Amino acid sequence: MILGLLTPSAGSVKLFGLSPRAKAARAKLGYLPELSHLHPFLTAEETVLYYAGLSGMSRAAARKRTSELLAQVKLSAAAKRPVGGFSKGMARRVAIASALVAEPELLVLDEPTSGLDPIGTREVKELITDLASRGMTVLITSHQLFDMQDLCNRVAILSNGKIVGGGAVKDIVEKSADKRHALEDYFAGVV
Amino acid sequence: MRRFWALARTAAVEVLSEPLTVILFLVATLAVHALPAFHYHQFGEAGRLARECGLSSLLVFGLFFAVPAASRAMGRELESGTAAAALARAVSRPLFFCAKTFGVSLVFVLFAAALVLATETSSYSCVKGAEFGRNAGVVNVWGPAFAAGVGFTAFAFVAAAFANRFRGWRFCLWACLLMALAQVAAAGVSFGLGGCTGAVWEKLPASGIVWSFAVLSVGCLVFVQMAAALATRLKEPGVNGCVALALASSFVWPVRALVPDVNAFWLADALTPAGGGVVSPGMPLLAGACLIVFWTVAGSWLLEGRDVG
Repeated sequence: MILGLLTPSAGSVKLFGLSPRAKAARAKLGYLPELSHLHPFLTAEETVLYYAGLSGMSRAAARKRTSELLAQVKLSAAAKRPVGGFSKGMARRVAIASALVAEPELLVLDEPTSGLDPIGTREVKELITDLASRGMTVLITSHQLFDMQDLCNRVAILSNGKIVGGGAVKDIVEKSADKRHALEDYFAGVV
Repeated sequence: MRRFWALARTAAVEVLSEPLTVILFLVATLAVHALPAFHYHQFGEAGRLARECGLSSLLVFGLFFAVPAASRAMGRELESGTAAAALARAVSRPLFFCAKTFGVSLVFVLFAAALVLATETSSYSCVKGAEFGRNAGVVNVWGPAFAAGVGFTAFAFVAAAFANRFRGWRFCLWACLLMALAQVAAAGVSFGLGGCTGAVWEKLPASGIVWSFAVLSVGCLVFVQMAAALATRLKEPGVNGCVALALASSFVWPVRALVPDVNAFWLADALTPAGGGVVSPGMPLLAGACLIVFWTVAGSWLLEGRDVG
């Protein structure tokens, strides 16, 4: 609904003060779907260029940004290979580069670490932390509570379409007896 | 416009990357170029067999490849989530629909243009071959036209294979593009050798061929647009069923002034103004254009009201 892809059955969503269907609102948004939905016949470079094109970037700017992003996600060496032959971790990194191509103000990540190996998970978490430290707002939906405890400042627990709990992660950890699994314990307590 | 081109280019590359596109391209162009060899089977008119083969190939490509490709391009994107990833950007749904169908249509037009050139070349060599025996001074271009048509097409195919092997270029895409260019070269060689002048050109059914291809192309593009529009809501078997029903119903449409004469035995006769039930040369094209606009609006509207994700 935040992305303007689904129509709410009740209530409304505002994105930067506008309807999520407004192009001006979605122009400031980056999105990483749960599964890395990519065109298998495009190369990594073409995929990022495609999303740069969808963001309305000029060809020269798109090429420069694509090159930077592929270096950032450590895929420069595989830039000319079709993404259909990529591993899940590599496809995830291409999808992240695609989400970041237009330098969004709000980045929506759906299960960013799902299906990744430990090294891939650590790389994605480092990237998210880096983006947040640069001032980008990152909204993550995830079932990996252990990872979320490391990454997030604030959490909201959703159950049956309603927010049943949440708050600052720091406060939740402080109140928990088991600091390492604080968010998991909190989740089990409210759901 | 950048967003439109990004979407359209990806849709066109997707269709051109399918091996079936190259096979149809290769078989259709080679068959049309080879047909003048059967010069005893002209059915009363030089080049008739080549024209029928060209038109039939276009019909087969349109109905059995371009229409399902349009349906897949839309349906697969919606199901796989690539449409959601695109629509989460500053891309409106009508733009997404129009660009996707434009990309598929572009490939169809490329195929049609290549076939028109191949058919014109083939038909020209047939006419010149028939005149050769009767009139002194006429150059028989059948041999060179055959060699140029088949040779250039085969060369384009092999060149794409080498470019893929040594430069990593996409084989299917480049084979199609180079084979289309090969038709331009073949036509240039054949018409050049035959000394094509205005007087000779008038004897050719050149304008008839272009007209027939234009009518048939617009007809196929209506179904391309229709399939894409239906694919925004229906699964692939449903879309194919609806297209088949629409095709079947076109035989009983009581608008003979607008649609080609489907009872004509020869496809070229059914499509040319003088051949069938067409009363005005522009009417089938106008009717087709209106239907394309209708299905574009309908498709955009259907996608606008659909939840994607």
